[in-house]
Amino acid sequence: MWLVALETATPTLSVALLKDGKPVAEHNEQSKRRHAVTLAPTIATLLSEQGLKPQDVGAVACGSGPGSFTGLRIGLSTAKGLAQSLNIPLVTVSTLDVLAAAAVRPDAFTAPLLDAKQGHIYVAFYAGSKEPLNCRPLTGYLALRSEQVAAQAKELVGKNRLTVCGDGVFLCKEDLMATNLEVLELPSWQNVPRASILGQIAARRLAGGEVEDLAAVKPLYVRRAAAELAREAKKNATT
Amino acid sequence: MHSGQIILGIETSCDETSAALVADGREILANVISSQVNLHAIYGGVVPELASRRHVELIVPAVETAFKEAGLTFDDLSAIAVTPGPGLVGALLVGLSYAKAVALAQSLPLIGVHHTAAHIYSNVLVHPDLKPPFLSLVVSGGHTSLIHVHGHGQYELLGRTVDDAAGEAFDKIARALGLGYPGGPAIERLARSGNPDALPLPQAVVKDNPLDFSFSGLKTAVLNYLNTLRQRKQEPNKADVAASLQRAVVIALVERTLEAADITGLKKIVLAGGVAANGELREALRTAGAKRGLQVLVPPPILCTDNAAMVGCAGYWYLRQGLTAPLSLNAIANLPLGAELTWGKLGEK
Ligand SMILES: [Zn+2]
Repeated sequence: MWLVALETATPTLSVALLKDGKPVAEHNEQSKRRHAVTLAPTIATLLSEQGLKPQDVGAVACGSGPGSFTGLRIGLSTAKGLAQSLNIPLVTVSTLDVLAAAAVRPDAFTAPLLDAKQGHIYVAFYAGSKEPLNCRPLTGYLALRSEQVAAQAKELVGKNRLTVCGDGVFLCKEDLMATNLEVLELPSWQNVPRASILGQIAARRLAGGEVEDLAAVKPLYVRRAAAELAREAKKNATT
Repeated sequence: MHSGQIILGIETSCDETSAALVADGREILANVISSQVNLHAIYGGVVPELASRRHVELIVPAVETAFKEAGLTFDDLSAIAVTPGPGLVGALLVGLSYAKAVALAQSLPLIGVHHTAAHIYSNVLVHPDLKPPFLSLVVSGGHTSLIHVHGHGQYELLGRTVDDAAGEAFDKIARALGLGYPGGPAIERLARSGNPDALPLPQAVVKDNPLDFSFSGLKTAVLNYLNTLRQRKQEPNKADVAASLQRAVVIALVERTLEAADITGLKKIVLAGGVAANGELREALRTAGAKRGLQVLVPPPILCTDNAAMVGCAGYWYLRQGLTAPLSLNAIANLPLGAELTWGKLGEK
């Protein structure tokens, strides 16, 4: 069965085609703010390069974030359009799970870090594992400040080692160094969430029956809309 | 079963998630409009991030309901038409990304319909024999435009607002009067019991182009009037304020439109947009048009709100002209009228 995987949460646009859970083709580009323009044509090109018709696709996988709100909606709206019109299942995978899967190893904790802007970092912590494609976070998917990331790391990781990856690493470097933890960094090419890995995770979840409710599924925003927070702050101030 | 060309229309430019199925550009088989008005009312206006989030949750059910109502499936489609702008860019991107995915998956033509143009086509839905050329006045919370429609997809912008849109003036004064959101319908309701000559309000004249509109002076005059009363600790007669504001806006709209008809020699005038639901505007334009022997068409109120049927209707006529868009079509907040039709030719990859 063919599966299309889309990842649009970060400035990297990544699209992959998998056959029976194995990556066959992948396209990655640094297309900040151009995901809306490039995503659909990229899917079309990948399909035609493999000689496939859209009807040959049996499932869609989409990165659910956290990440850029707009990027997430471009990806998920595209995934919903494909899944609904082709009448095929949709599987979502957290973008942090995708990053972690490329980094998780048996003898270290892993923390993918994504720049969430406004002084925050999206992060989740993963235990060591021999099966990175099955990894699930020990924590929730969080938006923290750098010093909070370091404090969490110190508490969870203890005397173990910690692997960090993602475009938010540079934001946490100083605070992580100050913890005296043994921190490993991945080479930069492993710092972007790749659709080929997303697709492999999704294929396993699909086999396990983890399919999304197409109508209700939404991105992992983690953070609420600024207007909601402002309204609440105002309400709390007056009561 | 339907033998004609079925277009799926998608519209998410503001706070309505809408999906429609239209046959041959004239018959509405389904027009599902999921309004988010309650979500935004507590904020006194549309919150773009919340609107975008809600569109993601409403788009699939809206399309599903449309197909169910029409008794059709994706296999029956001839094309997908969608609004790429103008509007809230995050909101537009939900409908556009969804529509592009459907076009890709079903190997169907994608058609981009400018939101203002879509409003004009709501008239074609109820008057199937309406053919260009004609003059159109499009009035909403975001736009006030006079457009010479030369042919399907061929537009000439004759005049537009140089500051606030007419609907925006209604919304702002409604807020100042504590009438809540949306303001237009509230002003109209209140105006019925008010005296339209109670407030002396200025008629805005735009120097550079006699067909342009300006409503900020009018808005400021009303706000100043309310302020003066407040300083004197007097309560305004809200009905009189609403009636005077509405009268001033309607006069400006009707006068410019008749002037545009004079200049262009066009005999057909087509009203469109959210404010086209305003009873006084409809009546005033009809009466003034009739006096001069002009034909005035107004869409039914349900087609004045943002809806996907008008998008699907325009999509049919665009498809007949070969006006399709590439899968690289992008959402643009302030998309100029007609730009969506040259997207491919602009070399956008
Ligand atoms: Zn509108």
